[in-house]
Amino acid sequence: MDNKKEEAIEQYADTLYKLAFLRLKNREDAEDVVQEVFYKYIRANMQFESTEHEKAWLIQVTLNQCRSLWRAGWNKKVDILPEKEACTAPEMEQAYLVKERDRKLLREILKLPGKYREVIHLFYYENYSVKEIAMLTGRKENTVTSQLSRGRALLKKALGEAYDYEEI
Amino acid sequence: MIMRKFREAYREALDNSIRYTACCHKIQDEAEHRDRLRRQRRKKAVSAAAGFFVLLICGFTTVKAADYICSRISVTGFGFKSSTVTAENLQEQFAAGEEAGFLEDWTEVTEKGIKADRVIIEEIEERTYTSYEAFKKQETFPLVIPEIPEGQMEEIHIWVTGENEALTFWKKADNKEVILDIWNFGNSKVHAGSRNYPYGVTNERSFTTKDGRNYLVVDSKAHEAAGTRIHTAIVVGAYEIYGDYIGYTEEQVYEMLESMDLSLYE
Repeated sequence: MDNKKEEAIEQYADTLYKLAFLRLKNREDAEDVVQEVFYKYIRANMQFESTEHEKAWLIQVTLNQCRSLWRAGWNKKVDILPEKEACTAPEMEQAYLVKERDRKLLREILKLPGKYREVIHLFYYENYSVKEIAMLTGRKENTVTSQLSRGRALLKKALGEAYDYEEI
Repeated sequence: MIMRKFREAYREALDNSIRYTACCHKIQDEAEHRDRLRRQRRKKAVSAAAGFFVLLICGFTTVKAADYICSRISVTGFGFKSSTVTAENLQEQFAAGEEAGFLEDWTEVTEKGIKADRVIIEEIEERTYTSYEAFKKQETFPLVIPEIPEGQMEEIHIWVTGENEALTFWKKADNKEVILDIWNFGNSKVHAGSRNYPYGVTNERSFTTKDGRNYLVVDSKAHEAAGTRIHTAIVVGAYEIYGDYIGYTEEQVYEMLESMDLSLYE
């Protein structure tokens, strides 16, 4: 494997894993998906126009791989964060509160229907525009916009008005 | 109050919780690759062979206990459907569920271009076992397994979902498979579901066992190369039991149905 591909794997592994985990809600499946995507990437000998094109290809293949694995009607055990930890020392309180806040936010994200979760992640974490998300997921722009707004509405309902969602 | 940017909060929460580094050697390793494919094939095989079950449980409805009607299963062109409510009530429940954000988008059966019902979205824990003994040690879900003709190469998987809400049993013996999907609706007020097979079903009939259990039986329309696929459905108490028998003759399937004592579900 050439250095360029190794660098790309190093660079995108975490991105693809997060996306796969959010779609599948299972670490083992997410790891299998990411490794399989890179296996294809190494063998595909694709010529990419730019790093953005390369990243978009990897994301598309990851989403397709996740869809093919998904078992209709069944959600896997979610193991995003360890169980609640005891908070004993006062200096740990701040870190504990931050963890609790993170846990709550991610729990609500994972409760969203899969397609909303996907677009929320691509928009807020990967900074993709609606147009780009539409291309990546093969959906219409209107559909993506509506899924984003329905996802946001569900999050607002669950998390209250604690966040500014930078709506478009 | 200063509102925190959701974008920043989400990034921080995810980065604090998940970090992943890929191992290039593991990715390229052919043995690892084959293992990954095997795991995926197994998951897909169970999913495809068993058809899929789309389900709506409305635990939040205002239906009174007195209104509860026992499950009814009937045959559709694509498999089975079951419900405890009228179609009119069901529409209302779907609307309520959608409003509450519980429901996933439509699931499509691409082979025929039909659209199935909606899929339940909840945080449901799933536990997997690869032997009956391991399952019995940990679980209390009642599982009655038919007497399946033995094979040289056997593989078994049992999945239990949530608080004993559903169980899937899958056994492969050589190239033949038995899949049982057992749903416990004892804790839900109303539900509606359908179990669909990608190629549709035909030859609806019933089979009554010696102890008087009446099964609905259909054949899959899958092409001949896929082998015979016989599907059965029965309601016992609060349980709906669906069976998929792949590669077995009708006679063998009936023998397996006779071998099950379903009184455990009453």
